[in-house]
Amino acid sequence: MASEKKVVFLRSSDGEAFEVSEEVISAASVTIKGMIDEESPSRADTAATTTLAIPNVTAATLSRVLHYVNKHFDAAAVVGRPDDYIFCAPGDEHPLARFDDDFVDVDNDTLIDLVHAAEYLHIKKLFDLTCKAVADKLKGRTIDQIRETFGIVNDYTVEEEVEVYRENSWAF
Amino acid sequence: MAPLTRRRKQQEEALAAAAPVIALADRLSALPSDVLPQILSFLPAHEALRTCVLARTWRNLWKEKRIFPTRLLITAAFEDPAVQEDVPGFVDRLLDLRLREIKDAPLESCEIRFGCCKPLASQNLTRLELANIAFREVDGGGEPDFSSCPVLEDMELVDCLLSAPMTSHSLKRLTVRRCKFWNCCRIRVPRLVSLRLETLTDRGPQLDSMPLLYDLRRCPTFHKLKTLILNDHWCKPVDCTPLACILEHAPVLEKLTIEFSQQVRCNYKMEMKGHLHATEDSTKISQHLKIVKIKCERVNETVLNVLNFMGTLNICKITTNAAFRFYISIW
Repeated sequence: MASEKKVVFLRSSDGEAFEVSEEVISAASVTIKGMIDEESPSRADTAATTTLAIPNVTAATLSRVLHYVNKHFDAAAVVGRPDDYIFCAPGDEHPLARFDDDFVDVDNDTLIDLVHAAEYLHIKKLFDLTCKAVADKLKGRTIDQIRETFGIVNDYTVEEEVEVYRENSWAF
Repeated sequence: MAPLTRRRKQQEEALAAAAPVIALADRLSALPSDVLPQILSFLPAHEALRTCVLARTWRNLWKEKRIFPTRLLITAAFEDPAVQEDVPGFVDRLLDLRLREIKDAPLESCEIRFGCCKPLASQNLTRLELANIAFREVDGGGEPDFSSCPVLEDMELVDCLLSAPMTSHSLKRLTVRRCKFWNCCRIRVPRLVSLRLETLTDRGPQLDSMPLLYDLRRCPTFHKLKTLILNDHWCKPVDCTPLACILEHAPVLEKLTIEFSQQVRCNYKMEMKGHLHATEDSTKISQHLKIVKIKCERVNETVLNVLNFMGTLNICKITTNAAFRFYISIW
């Protein structure tokens, strides 16, 4: 099956189609694997290529996601590496660590788009990576800085705010 | 993520009725309610807690039982001295808060990653999983002591390094996976009923008395156990039943040491070594057994019982470092 190099097309919410190896995307995305499995009985005899609609993800985000997927899940590219570089010894940097760092070095909107896409497509490694990147943007910041960075509106009344600070005083 | 999708849909419908104010530009607060806890799980615990001050949505995240994850992962910064200082109290308050406010959504697991050096204390903790933790005896004489967790019953240690004695008087089930034992690591878990050991080194832990341990008979054997150090509690009924039981279930055991002492020590007045005299196959003991050591300060009745028991297993005397040849000759 691998030798056939099957591909599928993914159509983004704004109508752009992206080609990706079926094997690679199936390994990466639980959601798309499910879609392919559902499709497969009907296309077993036909040579037609499958196009899957990904209604929740824009072309800009989908193209980023596929870039990540091809880096991380293409068996030919990944062979011989430990699956999870988190377990590498310190100083023994995984080849994809730098890629991952650069990958999530984006503005807030793009990052949150990626969180959404990773969650919808059920790509666990990407979901963890992007959630951690959001966390890194919160880390070490004051409440006001976080509000400012992400445009969070403080909708507490003064009394409520005092109360919630009091409740959680031990965390400050 | 996938199993939560349906639930999340319901949650979102439920939330729509009393939705807090979320500015259009605030895409972070608008993330699905099971995604935010995932993000917070990468923050140091106290920083994660602080976010409830941001806005109502964030407070609800902690309060609303319907959107609280059943799995709580708290990662505390190793380098943050403020966190390290207050670990025991922090965990207690965190769990207390979690249990008090969200009674209807039982916490399935709580994973806490700390650079921790003080004993963990919690009145509520029943299950604890520890990964990548080094248990060391520190200068102040500290050792992994779970006595401050009086209802802790399940513990799983994965990829841990154990080089200090460990104590828990409530623990019932202990799983030790891919851990390394250094020195004489003594495990004091008297109420243990189930023990699973998969260790990396051929050196195993020293197990103190566990009178309630019944799974030894019921459960699969210690297929990988090569080195075992026991104390004399295991030899107590005259016929050494617990010892016999453990030996029957350790088919690849190579080295067995029995130490007659309440404390871990390096030197004993008497040290006897024996090996298996393989005249016939026995199902009662590992045929790979290379050496048996018995260490004690003096020969008493229990030591003699053990020697007799060893005799029934075809284990023969090689050497002793002491002059008590009279007693040893029985062996």
